[in-house]
Order: sequence, then C-alpha cells, then structure tokens
Amino acid sequence: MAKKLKFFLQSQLEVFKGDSLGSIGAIIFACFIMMAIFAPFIAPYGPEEMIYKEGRLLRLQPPSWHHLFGTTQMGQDIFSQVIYGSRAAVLVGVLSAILVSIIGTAVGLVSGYYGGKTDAFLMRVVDLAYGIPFLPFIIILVALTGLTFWNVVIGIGLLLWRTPARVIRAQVLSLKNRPFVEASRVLGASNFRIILFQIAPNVLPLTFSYTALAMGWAILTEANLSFLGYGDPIMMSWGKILFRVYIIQAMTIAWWWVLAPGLAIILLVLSGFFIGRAYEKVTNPRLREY
Amino acid sequence: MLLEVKNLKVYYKTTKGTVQAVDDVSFSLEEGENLGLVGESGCGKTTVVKTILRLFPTNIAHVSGTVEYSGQNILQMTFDELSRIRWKEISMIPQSAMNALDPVYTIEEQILEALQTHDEISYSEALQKIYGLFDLVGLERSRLKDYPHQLSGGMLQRACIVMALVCSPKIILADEPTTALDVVVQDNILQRINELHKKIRASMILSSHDISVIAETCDRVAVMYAGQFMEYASSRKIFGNPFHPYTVGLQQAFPNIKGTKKKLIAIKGYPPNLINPPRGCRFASRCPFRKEACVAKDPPLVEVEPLHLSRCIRSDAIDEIRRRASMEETWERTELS
Amino acid sequence: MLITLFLLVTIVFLMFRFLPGDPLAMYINADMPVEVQKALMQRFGLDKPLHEQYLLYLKNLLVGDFGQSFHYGQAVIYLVAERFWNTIILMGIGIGLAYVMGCILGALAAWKRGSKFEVISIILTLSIRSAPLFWIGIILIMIFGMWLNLLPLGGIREAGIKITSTFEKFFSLDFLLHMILPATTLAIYYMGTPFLIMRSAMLEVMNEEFIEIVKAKGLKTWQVIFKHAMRNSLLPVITMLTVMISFVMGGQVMLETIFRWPGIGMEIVSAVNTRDYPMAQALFIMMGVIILIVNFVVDLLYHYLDPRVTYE
Repeated sequence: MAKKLKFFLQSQLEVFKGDSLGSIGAIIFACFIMMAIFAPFIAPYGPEEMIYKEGRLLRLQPPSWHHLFGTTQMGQDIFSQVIYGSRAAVLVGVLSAILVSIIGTAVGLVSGYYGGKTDAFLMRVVDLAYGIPFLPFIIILVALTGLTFWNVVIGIGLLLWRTPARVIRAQVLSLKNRPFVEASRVLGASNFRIILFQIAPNVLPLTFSYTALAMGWAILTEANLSFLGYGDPIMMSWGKILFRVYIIQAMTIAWWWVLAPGLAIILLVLSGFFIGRAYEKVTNPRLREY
Repeated sequence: MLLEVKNLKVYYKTTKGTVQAVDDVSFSLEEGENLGLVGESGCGKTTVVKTILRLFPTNIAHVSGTVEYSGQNILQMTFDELSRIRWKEISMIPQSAMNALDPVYTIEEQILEALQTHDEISYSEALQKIYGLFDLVGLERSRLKDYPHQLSGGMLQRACIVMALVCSPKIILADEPTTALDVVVQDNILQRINELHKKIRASMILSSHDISVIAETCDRVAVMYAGQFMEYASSRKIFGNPFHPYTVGLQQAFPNIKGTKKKLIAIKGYPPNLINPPRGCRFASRCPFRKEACVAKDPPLVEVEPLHLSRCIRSDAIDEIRRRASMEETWERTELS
Repeated sequence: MLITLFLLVTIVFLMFRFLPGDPLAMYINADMPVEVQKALMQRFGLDKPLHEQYLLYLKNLLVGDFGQSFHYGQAVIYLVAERFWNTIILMGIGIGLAYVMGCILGALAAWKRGSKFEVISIILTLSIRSAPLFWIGIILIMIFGMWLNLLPLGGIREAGIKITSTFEKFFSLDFLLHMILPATTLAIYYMGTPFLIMRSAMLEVMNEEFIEIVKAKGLKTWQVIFKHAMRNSLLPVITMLTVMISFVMGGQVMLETIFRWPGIGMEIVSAVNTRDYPMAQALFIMMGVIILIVNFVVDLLYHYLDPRVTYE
C-alpha cells in the first residue's frame, strides 16, 4: 500500500517536472496553503484590528514598511487582512474543487461506461445544469439557506460538476473499447472492477486537471459573493476587503486597498489554472510541445 | 529549360537531431517533359517536390542550392513574386485528395479561389473554364456545388486535378497522386493524367514509390534513395538498361500493373538514418554487390552513358550485376551491414 | 430544449417554495393591505395544496403573470422587460467584442507559435481571467473614470435627461459613453476563453494538408490565416459559448452592480436584498431563458459553420 502511494506521489511529481508554468503554479498554491494554515503567525495584526498611532487611528495609510499593503479607512492592516483572507479562499476553493471533481468524475465514469439510457439521462441533467445561471443560482441559494461558507461550497458543487462530467465521459468513451479493457472483460472482470481499476486510473489526470480549474472558479465565486455582501460574515475574505473599499468609494484615494486583494486573487486562481494545464498535458500529449 | 534544380539540400530539425532529408540533388525539366521521382517512403522525393513551391514545415533547419524557374531562383524570391508563381506557373496535385480541400468551402469556391487569386476573370468565364476541365476528367458539373465530404476519393482526386490545371500552369507537380486510391481508380487516374498531358502540354514532375506508375507516365526518371539520386536517365534507359543495383532491385520488387506474372523479390533491410547518414554509398548496407570501396568514400554521380547518370562505382560490372540480380538468392543472401 | 425550460421553471418553483420561513412570503408581504393579500392568495392559489399551486404557477407563467413586485409595486413583467433590453444590449456588445478580439488574437498567437507575442498574450489573458470581473471593472473605473476623468463612472445615462424615443434611449452619445467602460470590461475579461480555444484549434488546423495546398495556391498569408485556418477553427470556439453563457450571466450581475447599470443582473441582487421574491424569481427565469436562446442560436450556427454536420 505504501509502495503504491509512493509511486502515485512520484508520478504526480513527473507531471510537473516538464512543465515550468505548472511547477510555478504548484509552488504558489503551496505558499497560499501555508499562508492559510499559519495565518495567525504570519500576519502582524488581526484581520479586524484597528491600529492606533499616537492616539489616532491609522486611516488610509499608503504602503510602507510597517504596513506592506497600507491600511483601510478603519485603520486596519491590509496585509494582515489579505493573509487571513486566504483562509476563506483556500477553504472554499479546495472543498468545492473536491466536491465538484468527485461528483463530476463519478457521473462521467458511469455515464460513459454504461451508456444507453443512463447516459442519456445523465447528459440531460448536465444540460439542465448548464442551463442554470451559475452565480445567480448561488446568490439565491445562499440568500435562502444562510450565509455560511458551507452553503457556498454546496452551491458550487451542485452545478460546477457539469464540465468535468462531460469531459471525463468523453474520455471514458474512448477508453472503454481499448484492448486492455477488452482483455479484462474477457478474463471475467466485473464492470465495477473495470471502472475502478482500469478506467479510473487513466481518467485521473483529467480529474485532477478539472479539480484545479474548479478551485479557480470557486475562489472567484467566493470573491464575487463576498463583494456583493453575501460572504460568510465571520470570515475575512478578499472579496470582503474589496467590498469595503468599494462601498465607501475610496478607490482613488486608496489604490493599494484595491490592488492588494485583487492581486492575491489573481495569483491563487492563476496557480489553479497552471496546475490544471499541467495535468491536461498528461491527457493530451499534443499540448506538450511547450 | 523550364526548371533547373542545382545542389538542393534540405535539412529538418527534430528532437533527435537534424535530418538530412535531401542531400545535394540536381535535375532539370524541359518543356512538355514528364519527370518521375521514384523511391521508397522517406527517401526525400516529397521534400523535393514541395521545395519547388517553397512549402516548408516549421521545423526546417537548412535549405541551400537553387531552384531556377524562368531564370529566377524560387528559393530567393520575395514572397510577392513567389505568390505570383505559385499555382499560376507551377501547381500541385496532392497526395491525399481527401485532406487536400478545405471542408468548409464548396468545390466551386475553392477552384474559383485558385483562379481569382491570379487572374482578373469574371465568374461566368471562370465557370466555363472549370466546366471544360470537369468534362475532361469526367466529373459531373453538379458536383461543383458540393462540399468535399460529399465526394468519393476518386472524385476528389479528379477535382484536385481540375484545380491544379485551372490556371493553365507550365509545371504540374504530382506528389504520389495515386497512392491513396484503390487499384482500379488508380489505373483510371493514370490514364487521365496521360490524356491530359497530351492535351494540356504542361510539364509534370511525378513522384511515387510505385515504379510501374512512373514507367507508364514519365519521359525521364530519377531514382531516389536516402535523400540522394541513385540513378537519373530517360525512362527507357532506366527500365531497359538500369545501372544502379537499387534501380534493379526496385523493378524486381513491384508487380507490373499490366499483369505479366513474375516473382516479387524484396530488398531486405531499411533505409539508413538520415540524422547521421552513413559514410560512403547510402545503399551499401542493403546492396548484394557491395565492396569495400563502396563504404570508404561517398560515390559521385557519374555519366555511365550519354544522358544517363548513376551513383554506383561498380558500373563496370553492370552485366554481372544484372545477371545475378534477376536471381532470388542474390537478394535473399544479402548480409545487411 | 423546451424540456430544459420546463425543468428550469420547476426548479425555481421548488427553490423558492422551500424558504426557511413563510412560503407565503413568495408573493405576499405582510405590509400589504389585507384585501390585496387575499386577492393575491387567490390569484396564486397560495392556500391550495402544492401540486395545484404548481399548475397555477405554470399557467400564470404562460400568460406572463409573474406577480407584483414588493419593492416597486408594479407588475413584475414590465419591470423585467425594461431591464432585459438594457442587459441584452450591454451583454451582446461586450461578449461580441470579446469574441471578435479573442478570435483574432488567438489566430495570430497560433500563427506566431513560440513568439514573445504568443507567450505575453497567453499570460495576459489568463491573468485577466484569473481576476474577478468586478475588480477589472473597478480598475478601469479608477483609471478612466476617476484619474483621467474621460468617462462616466456608472449608470446608463446622465441623471435627469429626458428621453423622447427608443432610438434616443440606445443610440445617443450619452448612452454610448456610459456603455464604453462596462462593455470594455466585459470584452477584456471574457476575451481569454475564445482566445485560448481559437489558438489551440488553429494549432491543430494549421497542420492539416489543405492549409498547405492553400498556401501553394499562392494566397497571401492573412488569407490563409483568416479565410481558411480560422474559419475551420470557429466551431469549437462558438460551441464554447453554450458553456460560457451560464458564467456570463453571473458576470453580468457583478458588472451591472459595479457600473450601476439597470439591467436584470443588478436587479436580481437588489431583489434578493429586499426580499422581493416575485422579482427575483422572474429575473432568474429570464436569465435561464437567455441561456436557452443563446444555445438555440449556437445550434443554428452549427450547420453553417461546419457543412459536415447534418441535422438529425
């Protein structure tokens, strides 16, 4: 078992070796995870902590050595806010991504392998899922069921599985008639075994690719929701930071307040895209010419 | 002289190294003459044909030599000059007609495109010209409005022939024009090419790995192997009086489409790796008649009789070579080096 | 396709019914006078069992009766109709621009494989795509609206202007100025997807034999790229629109909120905030309808784009 795990981990490393962008993405992603986990140790101040200097609130300070990203209207250190904000992003991003890829892969595998009425039905469901506007759906869902990040994760999971489902199904369709699968069938392997041990491993790179992409989407969705005011009220989030600067229309006065959280979002989402691309190259060798 | 190619070298970049696909090839083409390039796949004949139109892939590493058409070197021309020559003076019949036409435009649109790129011609005039050619190749006029996927392989090939002829070029390049077709259609197309040639009076350069196809249609023949010409002479001399062991071997290896039964003898072995071509004669490793001298130095093309070039240093022993070559054991006993 | 519409409205029905709290809140606000409440209950069968409500709901939809807006006090259908056009025009132009720019840049990037241009354009479009749409909008507002003071900061036209005709509504200079920033934001943001798809489709097409023949025919480079290579790459790009449109609707929500553009996007947020359920429901359905229309149009374009595709 341990050997298989080691082999698995090594083969994941292989994926990134040839791909410079993918490696950069993986490193950035790892950095953000560290940031999220160790936030209280890295951030110099609390996320909502109002900072005073000589008895006065340090409002709207431009970036300096003390406050790398400046301060807000309420004297809060934006650098700390960004660090604490990574928690919401990583949490929603990773959890949603896992949910989306589990559902999406399962549907893709079943639909592609069994075909027939099951396939037709599931693809109709996918069509329906595509017919529903993504963000408005989540807005309404969250408004109805409560502003917690779990609801956001569930909302994202309810819809985003549609894309990996379709793509993985296509992959399964091309795999299921390959000689090695035929051979297993002839030897009497059950469908379940075939799906689990023959097809799933070959579909895994695609799954990982879409997991990474879904993470990107989830983070953007979380930022959008927080910006509209639908974020989790307790957690600090990058969208919330932007919500606050926009609400008071302080954009021209405090460009740093706008730039910092935006760049954080870009970096983390980009890392997701790069990692996703690295895995996609495994599936589609023609992309490898880079 | 219509076209003269001198010392053409074309090398490609690959992940494993530089492939010397065409290594010092020279030939000429007269008006009204058909030249055949025969050789196995990978010998470089397609590269030679495409180089005449300056069609290079993205991984081109080196091109040297001259390709002179009407006194101008095609390889050095400006892009505008080249565009004027392409198709109008020199056109091409592609190998696989199935993939040679754009699937989203009709046959008519694509043939018209060829015409209208080069001449100011009205739609009705153009149509008349195309109709004439369609009748010539035996295609129904209604097919013009169809899309490529609606035509069969043979029809597509004929449509490509029409497209190649429509600008009345002086030279037509045919790169393995019958390889993608079944034998019956192949015979058909070959007949048409011959008829057309009598009517159109353009020169042709035909490349094929099938020596019988070349024999039927060409006046002069160049036998190509591993990027070089092994033998270059008139069709009659190549078939009646071959001097190079490879030429002899090729003739033994192909069935005659006319049907005279004979035993086919294959040439053992594979062509050499062109990333690092072997020193000496490139055919030596598969040649039943090789001697030490063959691998010591690169053999030059020498004139063995008037207007007949051969790249074999053993041309003096040609009678014995011919005698032994007709026997199966000679080829079977060859030790590949 | 109609099935999808049917399922969509059913889902909306179920979604709004299962409110934590009072199901009546769907159509009736406690602030309304009692007679109005009673009348509305009658109209929407709110005192009847669920399946009867559902049938009544469907019947009302067919007639276009979405109820009364709590917030505006008018029939929802008229309010939605007005905002619908505002959204469609902005969205149409923005996405149209995104596609045109994305396709051209993607074709060029594929043609200039391995060049600095390609690498830079990929990194740029990916980075923009990785940012939230509203953030791009804010940056543009900051640069062009606030610092350079070139363009209006939001809204659809100057407040207080009298509009005398529908033409003036959408074809005046004022409207145009107000539309530039949001449309540009949309275009820049959504450009990435058609760009990447066009590029990868082109890379495949460029290796096909017919491209070489087209070159051999003596066509100019731009003709080879645009008339043949790009034309053959359009199908995957256009079909991507059916996937994108679901996200585009969400993008509209963010965009209209930032730019105070009175369309269905901005309205749906406002409706949810004010608990104006009839509005929210109708707007959501409207978005679904737009998605369906886009799908339909793409389906129609399919055959035109690729003659090999036949209708079953």
